Amino acid sequence: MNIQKLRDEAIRAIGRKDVKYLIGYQRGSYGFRVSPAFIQTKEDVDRLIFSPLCHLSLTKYLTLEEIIPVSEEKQKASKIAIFARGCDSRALNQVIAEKGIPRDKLFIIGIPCEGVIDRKKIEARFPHVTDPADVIEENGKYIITIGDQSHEIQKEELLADTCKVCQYPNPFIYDKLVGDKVAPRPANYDDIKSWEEKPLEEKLDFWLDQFDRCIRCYACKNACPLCYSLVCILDRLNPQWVKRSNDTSENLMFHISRAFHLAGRCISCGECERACPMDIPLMKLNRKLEKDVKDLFSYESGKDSESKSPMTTFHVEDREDFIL
Amino acid sequence: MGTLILQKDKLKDFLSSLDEYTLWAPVQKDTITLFEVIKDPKNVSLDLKHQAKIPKEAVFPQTELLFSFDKDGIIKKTDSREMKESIVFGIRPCDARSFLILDPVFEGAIPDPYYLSRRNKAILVGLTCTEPFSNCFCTSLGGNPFSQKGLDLIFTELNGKFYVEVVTEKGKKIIDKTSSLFTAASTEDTKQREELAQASESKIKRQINLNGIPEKLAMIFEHPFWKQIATKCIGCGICTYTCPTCYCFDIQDEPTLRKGRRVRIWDSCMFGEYTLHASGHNPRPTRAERLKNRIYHKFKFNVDNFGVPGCVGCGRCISLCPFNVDLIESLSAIKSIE
Amino acid sequence: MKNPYLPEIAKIMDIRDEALGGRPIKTFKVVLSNGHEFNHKPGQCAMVGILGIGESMISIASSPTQKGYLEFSIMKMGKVTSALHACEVGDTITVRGPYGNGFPIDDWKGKNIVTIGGGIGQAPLRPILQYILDNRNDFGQLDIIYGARTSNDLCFKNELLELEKRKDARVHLSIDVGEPDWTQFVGFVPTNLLQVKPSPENTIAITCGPVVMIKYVIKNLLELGFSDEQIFTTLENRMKCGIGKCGRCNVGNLYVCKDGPVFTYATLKNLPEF
Repeated sequence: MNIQKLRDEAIRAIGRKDVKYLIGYQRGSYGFRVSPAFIQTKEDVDRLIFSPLCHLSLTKYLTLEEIIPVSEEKQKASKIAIFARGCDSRALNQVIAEKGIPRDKLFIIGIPCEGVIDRKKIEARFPHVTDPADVIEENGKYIITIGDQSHEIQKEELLADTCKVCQYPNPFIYDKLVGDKVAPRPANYDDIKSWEEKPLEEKLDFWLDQFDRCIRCYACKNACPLCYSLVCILDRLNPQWVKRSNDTSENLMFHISRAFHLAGRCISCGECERACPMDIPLMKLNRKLEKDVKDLFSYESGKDSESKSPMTTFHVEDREDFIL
Repeated sequence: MGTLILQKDKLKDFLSSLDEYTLWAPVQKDTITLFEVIKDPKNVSLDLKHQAKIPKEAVFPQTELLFSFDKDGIIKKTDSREMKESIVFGIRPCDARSFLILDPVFEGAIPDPYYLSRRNKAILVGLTCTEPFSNCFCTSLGGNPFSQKGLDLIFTELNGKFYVEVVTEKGKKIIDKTSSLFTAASTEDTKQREELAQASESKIKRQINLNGIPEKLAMIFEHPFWKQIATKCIGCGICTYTCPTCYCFDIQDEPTLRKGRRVRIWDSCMFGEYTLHASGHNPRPTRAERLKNRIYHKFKFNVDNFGVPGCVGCGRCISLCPFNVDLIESLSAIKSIE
Repeated sequence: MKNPYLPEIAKIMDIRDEALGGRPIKTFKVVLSNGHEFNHKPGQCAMVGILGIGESMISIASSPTQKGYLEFSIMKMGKVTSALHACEVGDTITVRGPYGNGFPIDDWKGKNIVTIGGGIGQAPLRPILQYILDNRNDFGQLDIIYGARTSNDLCFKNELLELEKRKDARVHLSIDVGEPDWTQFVGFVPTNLLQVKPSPENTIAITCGPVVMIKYVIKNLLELGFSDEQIFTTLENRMKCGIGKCGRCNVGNLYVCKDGPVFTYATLKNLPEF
């Protein structure tokens, strides 16, 4: 990934009259952190980075209600430019298909992605790092520079779990493409299949144990690019569908409801699991439902911006006579 | 009040012999350290990494039953006299200071019996912090990784043994009950502890000088800066729910067909409906206002009302925020606003 | 230690319709089941609710001089207030309080009083009027300026029309848009205030209503020569504990439930977020 090419494309994007600002990545405030960047000027562009540390799903910011102040001349601009990797582009397609955001409001800079590092894994490997750190990928290894020290680690040791089984690293939708296409990994649901074979009691005990420690911080919901309802049904107080007290049964209800709301829509970016402060393996649930939707309906989300997910559409010819 | 030595292999005996108390301690669960009531002291984990659950839960649980009722009226009030005394073990010195920040909130003209009965029955046993984390900045808030403040006893891990400092009468009571397990500390032990304390303090990498922050905040309420720092925030509740000094709560009724209960549950000022009026009006409609309120509450309003910032510098909000909203970075930016 | 979260049970003795239409207002007269008196100050509030639904902070709309009962004027808005509106005489509700600082009414003895209310905002001002009328010789002139969107939205209509007949009080009503039988002022409350032009000499002004109205009323009062210390208002916010602990009702470093709801303009103008 040639960062200069990316920055040049970014300069062209914000130079367009119809683009308000660009959402990209910049170095975070310490160590291995990465932060979203809201780029408006040429000077801002110098902050842009793109490395294996850039794990955030930027598409989230398109559906949040904050309005970023822009300069006088950009007041009339209607588009927002955004970096989109494979999974991000699927999120964009899905949101566009659901009419969450119009296609003509976006200027998408597509970036084929070789996978991101799981921040929890790299911080466990290199604890207590506050100095700015950089990572580049070379020949199946990560070269990690912390201050003046350099380390070489095997890619698979730090790669995020969702990236290890990523079938769609290349963006489906874009206005400009920067970087060479990446070979996809084969579909792999082996871990889900072996999980399916376990006895029901064992699976229930596992999940009850996990949800016992959920603190209902809603980071999973808020980090998810596809959870963009103005008022989430699970947040509503009038009527209230899920109690806010964090007993195991209510927590289970929250997560199962959310997983089903995402069935056939989730694009497996893994942000929910990475955001969770209690290390709950949420992607296990989401990938199980992803596999089921694929097996039952031959559908995978976000491959184009028209197809509607099978769980959100009802046809008169459907076997069931009601929406449930 | 006295310094003692407890051999490491005697820790289980110490905790087991105090079985008339409810024991709260850090417990390792997969990759996370939880903080909960334990029955078997052998589950205690002294590795304080990833402690997203906080000792504050021992006195201010996330969900607390206020009372239950049937269709004819209130039938059961929670009675604190029934509650056992508790020992809260393995508290980091930053978290210990958080109790001192929470106390004045729940005391005052109308005291809160739920918090205070747990608090008065809790004996706080600390564990000094020999490996501060990347985002620890307790020293910037008047704290220290080896501070005794707010604790009744404090343990320091030396080689094969614990150096135990008795801080209060409450702490002494516990030692007296188990005195056969302890020996006196030598000057060598004390010297080792001093060296560890100094080494630990020097390991704290992130610092910020908070002088003048409340005064600066008084001047910049309408500044456009707030819109900028809030753009990163996604409005979840991680910072508030893992903060040892946050105490905002909601009260909700949970009815069933014939009875119900009223509970108090943690709430987050970062959620949209926190200040939402029934009319639909929201005095803090966007994340900019809510993030601004959080910083003001901790670094100005708490100072105005109680004389101290509402923060102990534990760094959890910085480490755990998924989108890198960094409190130290925000405070530095506030300082540099003209 | 008393448990401040434990409510008392109260029985509804009377329900009076004040305003009908999209946002109906009813006045509930309740009696505490253990017979005890609140002995509250005018301006204080109580958490009123129903077990199984929740609670809302409502100003006590009757003066402490009216013994044996409490009155609450409640607009139907959300979950709790809708459930209260569905109640009938004889039903029980929960009440806890009194909370808040109340009006410093003893400090106002010997002064002239002007109350400026809009819509349901007249409810917290009503105990002031009742207290003054029950202790009439302790206070100077009494001017009541009150308006609502339409004549159907005016609360306490009958009481205010009775008051108009008294010589020791002046009532100035208004509605926003003219109606065929309406002979009094037509226009917004802040404009009516300028029309009435109360003198700031030895006078206290108290206002309550929609936030926008409060801001304009304060602006006009300052124009008329009132000082910051002479202007009082009572605020509201979403509340849950009512005792300054749950954190949500703050305006700046002050809690509306505990340090308020009554504030002078002198205090408010220094608070962020007002």
